[in-house]
Amino acid sequence: MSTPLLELRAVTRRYGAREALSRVDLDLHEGEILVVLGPTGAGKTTLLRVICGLEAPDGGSLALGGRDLAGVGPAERDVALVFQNFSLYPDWTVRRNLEFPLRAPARTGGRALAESEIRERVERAAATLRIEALLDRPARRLSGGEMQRVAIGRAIVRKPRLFLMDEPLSNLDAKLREALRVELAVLVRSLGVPMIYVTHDQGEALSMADRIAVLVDGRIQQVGTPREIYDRPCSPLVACQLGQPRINLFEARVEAERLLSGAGTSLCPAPGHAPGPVRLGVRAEHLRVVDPGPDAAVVELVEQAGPEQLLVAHWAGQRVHVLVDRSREFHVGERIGLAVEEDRAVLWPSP
Amino acid sequence: MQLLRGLFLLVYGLLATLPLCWMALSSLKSRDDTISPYARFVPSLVQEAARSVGAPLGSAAAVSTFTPTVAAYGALSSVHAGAQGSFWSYLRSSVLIGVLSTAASVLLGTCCAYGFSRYRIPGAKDWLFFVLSTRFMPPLAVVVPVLMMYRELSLTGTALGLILLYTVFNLSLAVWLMKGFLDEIPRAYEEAAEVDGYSRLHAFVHIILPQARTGMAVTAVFCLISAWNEYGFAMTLNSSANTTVPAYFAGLQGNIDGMPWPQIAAGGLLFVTPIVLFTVLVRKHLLRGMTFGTIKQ
Repeated sequence: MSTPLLELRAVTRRYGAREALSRVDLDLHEGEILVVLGPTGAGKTTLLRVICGLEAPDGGSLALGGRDLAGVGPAERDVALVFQNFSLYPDWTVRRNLEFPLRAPARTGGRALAESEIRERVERAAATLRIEALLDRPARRLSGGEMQRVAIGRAIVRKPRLFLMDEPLSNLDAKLREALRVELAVLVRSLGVPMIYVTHDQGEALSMADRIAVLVDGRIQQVGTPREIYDRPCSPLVACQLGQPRINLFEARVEAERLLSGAGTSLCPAPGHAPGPVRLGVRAEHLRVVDPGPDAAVVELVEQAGPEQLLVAHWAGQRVHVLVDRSREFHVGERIGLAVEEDRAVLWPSP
Repeated sequence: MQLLRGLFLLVYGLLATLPLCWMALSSLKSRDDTISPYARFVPSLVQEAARSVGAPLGSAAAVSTFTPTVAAYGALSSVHAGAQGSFWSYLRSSVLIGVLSTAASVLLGTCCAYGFSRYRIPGAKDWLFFVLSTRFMPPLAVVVPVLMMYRELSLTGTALGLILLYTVFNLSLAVWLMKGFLDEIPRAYEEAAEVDGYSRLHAFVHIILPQARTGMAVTAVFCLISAWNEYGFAMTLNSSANTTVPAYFAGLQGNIDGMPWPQIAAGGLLFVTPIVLFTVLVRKHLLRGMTFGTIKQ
């Protein structure tokens, strides 16, 4: 693989005694969309602020295109950032908002862009985002979706080396969010500019990302393709970040090459595993309904989820989620047998 | 309901403007009319002599009318005994001192408040308290030390002396007011500009200052009113020249012919007019105070 465009090495950022970022290593390659996924307060925004230069790291180093970024201000980094809460200057027209990055002295190398070029670039960006009709409207009079389009327009109007997006769609309603995220992914790919996209929404992460970096408590837990992260999460913490419904976790132990739950229920065979405590993760779609045996589960709730149905059941001393097709009808209180697809389940050593 | 509201507004409006109206009427009277035991408030164009003949003595028409004259305004141009200049030269000083000290207070206050608002300053709260503490004491308590300092620095009797003094007095107010307004402007405003390729200074001048217009207008109103009406220091430090209008009025008290009330009323009216005009001019900003802020989706 070519050398990465952006390299973060052991980047640490502290707020007082709290480490918002803790020895973060991250690479971003040309043309890549990297989604940083994590819960609220994980340090996602801090990560973007450090990358774009609004905050200096307390430790570690960053390099963009091979150039060390220590002491390089945000104006000289040539990255575009779309903020979560701020998008536009409310008193300005859409056109003036879009022109603003093009008139920046640091961008033009001291010489101003010709007015005709500014106009052309603004109009091209507006056409791409289908906001031509809004150009002369003051920003305060736009709807949320329009505003976010213009905010993205501000980022694409100049061709930066890197897009940074901080949950740009999180304040929009669900329908608009889905439509815009597809549009955004297609647009960014067509521009060929790499992007770091921060979100707590796993749907966005799975649909847009080339690679996902899972960030929890200021630490990068795992980096990989959406498939890798979904199928082989490196820890229960990562496993919980992805998947709807949430993965079923069991505190279990290996005894005589079988996995037993804490309550003694036999979960599945575990050939070749040494006896001892382990943790087991099974996604809802990897539990099969079988004929009830001695360790039967009791259905507590049946949710119709469109093409499938979701069973909430009590099994092995805890509540589990099971995703099954719609061919069979289940009732609350019904006793069913459950079997783990052991080749799809994930085992982690017990902490 | 509509009628009741109109009536209420009318009565309230009359009450509120009564002093100003009375002052306007007084400025058009002769001195005798102003100190007459009868309230004379109906301007009459009939000559004094004709009036006293035509109307019976003590009748309502005779006691409530007066003959308007602009003599009081003319008197403002003359230099009365013990003064260095006419009303107009005092008014010129007032404008100069008021405008410059207000501009300085608002400008310095805004810059200082920006620092407190945006940068991490060790002991920021203590510093802000210290700034405010300069207002705990009545300013006149320090009039003597200030006078002594100003003598050493040859600042007594100069406009610069009063400008400096009023700027310093109003600065704490300006810092506190402006900090409140600047705190309301999201940091993302500058941060977005910085990421887009602008310097911090450019962002401050071109993004933050226009957004802070409202706050600056409010602060300017307060500073101007305070500098405009200040009397104690204007009287003490600048007894001779280059002093403001309040000192002019004080100087009229020693008049050998008694208080020239029409002249005081005329001067007072002219003196409040600029403040009223200024406040009306920035009213748009004052009202806008509540509506500015971020766009949040």
